[in-house]
Amino acid sequence: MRYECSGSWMEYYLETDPDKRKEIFDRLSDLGDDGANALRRTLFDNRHTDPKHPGRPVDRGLWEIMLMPINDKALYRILPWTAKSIMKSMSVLGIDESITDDDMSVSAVYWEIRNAARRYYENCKGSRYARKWFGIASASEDEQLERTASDVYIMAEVIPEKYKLVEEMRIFSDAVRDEFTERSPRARQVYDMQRKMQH
Amino acid sequence: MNKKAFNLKEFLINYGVILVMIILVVITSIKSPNFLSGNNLMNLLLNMSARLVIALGIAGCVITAGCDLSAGRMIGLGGCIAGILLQRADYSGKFYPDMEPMNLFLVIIIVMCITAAFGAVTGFFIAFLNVPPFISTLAMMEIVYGLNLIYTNATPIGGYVDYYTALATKRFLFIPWLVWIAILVAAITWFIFNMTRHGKYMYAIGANPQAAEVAGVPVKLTMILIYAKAAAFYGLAGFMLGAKSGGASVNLGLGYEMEAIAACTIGGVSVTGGRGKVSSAVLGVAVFELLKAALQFLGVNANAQWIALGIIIYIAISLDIRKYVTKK
Amino acid sequence: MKKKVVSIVLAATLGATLLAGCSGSAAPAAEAPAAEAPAQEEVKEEAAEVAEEASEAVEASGDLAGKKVGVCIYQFNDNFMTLFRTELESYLKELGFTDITIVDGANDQATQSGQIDNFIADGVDVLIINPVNSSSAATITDKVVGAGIPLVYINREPDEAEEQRWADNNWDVTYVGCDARQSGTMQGEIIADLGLDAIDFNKNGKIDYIMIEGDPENIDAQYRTEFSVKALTDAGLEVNELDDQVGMWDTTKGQELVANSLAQNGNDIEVVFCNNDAMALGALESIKAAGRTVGTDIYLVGVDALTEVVEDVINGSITGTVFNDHISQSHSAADAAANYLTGAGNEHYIGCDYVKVTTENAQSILDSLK
Repeated sequence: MRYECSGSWMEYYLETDPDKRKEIFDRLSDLGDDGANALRRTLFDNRHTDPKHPGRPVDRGLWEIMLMPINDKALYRILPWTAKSIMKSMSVLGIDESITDDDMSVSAVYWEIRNAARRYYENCKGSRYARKWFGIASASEDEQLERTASDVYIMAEVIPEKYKLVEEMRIFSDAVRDEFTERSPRARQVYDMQRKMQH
Repeated sequence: MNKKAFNLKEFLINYGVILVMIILVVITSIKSPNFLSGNNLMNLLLNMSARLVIALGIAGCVITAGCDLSAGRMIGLGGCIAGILLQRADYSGKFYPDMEPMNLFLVIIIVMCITAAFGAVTGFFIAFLNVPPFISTLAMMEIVYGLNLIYTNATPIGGYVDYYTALATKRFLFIPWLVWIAILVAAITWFIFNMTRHGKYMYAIGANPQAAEVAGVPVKLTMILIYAKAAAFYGLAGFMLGAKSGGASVNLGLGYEMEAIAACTIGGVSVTGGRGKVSSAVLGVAVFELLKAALQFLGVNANAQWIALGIIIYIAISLDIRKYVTKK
Repeated sequence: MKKKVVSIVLAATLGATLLAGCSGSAAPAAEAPAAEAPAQEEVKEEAAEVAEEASEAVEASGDLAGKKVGVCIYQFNDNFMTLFRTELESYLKELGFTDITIVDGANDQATQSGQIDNFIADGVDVLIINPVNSSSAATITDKVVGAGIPLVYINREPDEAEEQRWADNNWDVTYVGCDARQSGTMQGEIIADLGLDAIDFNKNGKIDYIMIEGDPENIDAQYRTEFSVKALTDAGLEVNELDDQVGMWDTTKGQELVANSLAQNGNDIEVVFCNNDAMALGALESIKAAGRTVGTDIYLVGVDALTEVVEDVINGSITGTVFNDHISQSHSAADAAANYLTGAGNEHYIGCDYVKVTTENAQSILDSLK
């Protein structure tokens, strides 16, 4: 499968806290290099460094995932620069011309995006998320799941279609979708319902 | 895999409101041809201009999953202050008898700064003390009203200088100045929402406030800015309403926030936050103003107009919810 | 920790609001309604005491300085009532009253009833009440008379049956105000006096008009709507109503409604009746924007004689208005209150007249307003 991940590195991709991930990375890279370590390092550094404010802790991967759904705007389909800005987001996440087609690199990028998505979905709960009725009522867990599923569906399928970027965004789409549907059977169910309903 | 055939149901859900609007225009212009006259269209544009500014202000609050109930009273405060500063020198009921009427731009800036300050206080309570926006803006609504009552002593403000009320009548390239102001505000808002970092922060907070914080968004500062900017817009709207009506009082703008929120929702700003654009506000305001004008032209009983507005809101919100809720 | 801070801040704000509410005469409403049942008993006991004190005061020197006056206004942000209460307060002070409290009913009868209960519990010596719903007057009268406090109704007239009750029971209750029907009649007369030829621009033999109404729940709005047109028909003129909209006393709404009406009916409109001056001012803006001129191809009348409108009548941009004489009304009300306290007593109805304001007398009205 294209997105294979060797067993020992799974730990690195399941952990969402950046500091802990750094430790895991250092530990695992000491044990050996399967060829992708350099790429993994680059992806991590890119994600957590703001080129304009080096030294400030950020998570650009999380940022891009969070803001991807709002590209689904009618006017933007006409404006040429939205497609460009989406591709820019992709390159922040690691998907650009420099990435070779070999399974190892694609896999590394895929799993890094999945990790960012994982961090995002972890924050998609709690009393502040998806509050209904202008912030007056809080949503049930199921409703929150629906909201997230809707966003994921838009990110993974609606936007690539609308902007004709299906191939370019494939790694991204797969990553956010797989991470969401594999969270729980209920998540998978809700996602499929979303797809059926919005079709 | 994803062949999107023309889906009638989906089309109706997404564009149903526009369809209703078109049908309404057609019916009304058949019954009363004057509905499409240049005069009436100009009136509609004028009515829309102040309402659009209000809706654009409130859109920021709604996108971040909140609301702003203080809009109406801030409009009143803005209208009264603007009116007081622009009274004719020879008006016998002048509020400050020894003061000359001021420059228009200066008045706009003063009014917007004052209301923005109140908005910043509201935003402070929401951001730093975690008071829900509903409560915080409700409280500010009462405070602003009380302050306005005390300041003006409920005296109606009138006797405006010509160059103030001329904003509604004088045209530039066939469009009244008030409408130009609204267009400018819409353009600025579009720029803020789509091109600036602050706009992205706003959408991020609307999507997921917790994740936004994790991703490094200055949530607290952004919230204060959102509510301050909204309040500045309300002050400007009060200024515009005063120019259009030729008068102001503490009553000005009462209840306008409800219509503004409803307009945003009709136009496509989601009730759960995180989604919404400038075009939503424009569309929603247009629908409401068209509806109100059409009802009068159709001769509907003045009291039944409330019912019609309520029905439109029900329809629009139900359609909006259907967009995001899956069937069980 | 944060929750604690929030609760402390909220409690402090609440406390500050209550304190602010307690002081001063222009206090806004928003108090919790008094619990009815226990308050009733207290009121009955206190009523006996108050009645005793009142009779003692009557026998005393008639010095008003120590007397408490309670004034209930139906809504502070009403233009006319603002003029009224400002004048009332200054005249009461001239008469010698020092303890004057004026409260805002916020156009809600329940709020006002609560305020009346508070005044009674506080032991006021006389009440001046501008009822939110004149149909609730009976309940208010019973409450206040039951506490032995003399009562002066102002501006919103209770119905005849109620006024009869005061006479029959010989209570210390009176009404000071004008007959709202008269304001409507005078509006109609201002137009009728112009003569059919001057008004009938489209030569169809009728007076084509639009009516912009105030709050339909308010008896003044109903009377003005009805009697303005009635004055025209009584003068033998034929009328034709083109539009009837509700402006809720609001300038902005008046402007929008008249703008739409002018767009819809165009030059057919000959007269614009507005139930009050605020709406007339809005109407004037729309008339100007539509390129028409009052006095040349359209006529406009309002009620209240606001300063700006009187100035407009002088320079001809508004045809006329009706002066609701807040000065003589407030003085009469204050005098009535003083009379009850000195034992002089009053009639059960103290009326006053509206005054038509047209170009002839507008300047003198303006001078008297200053």
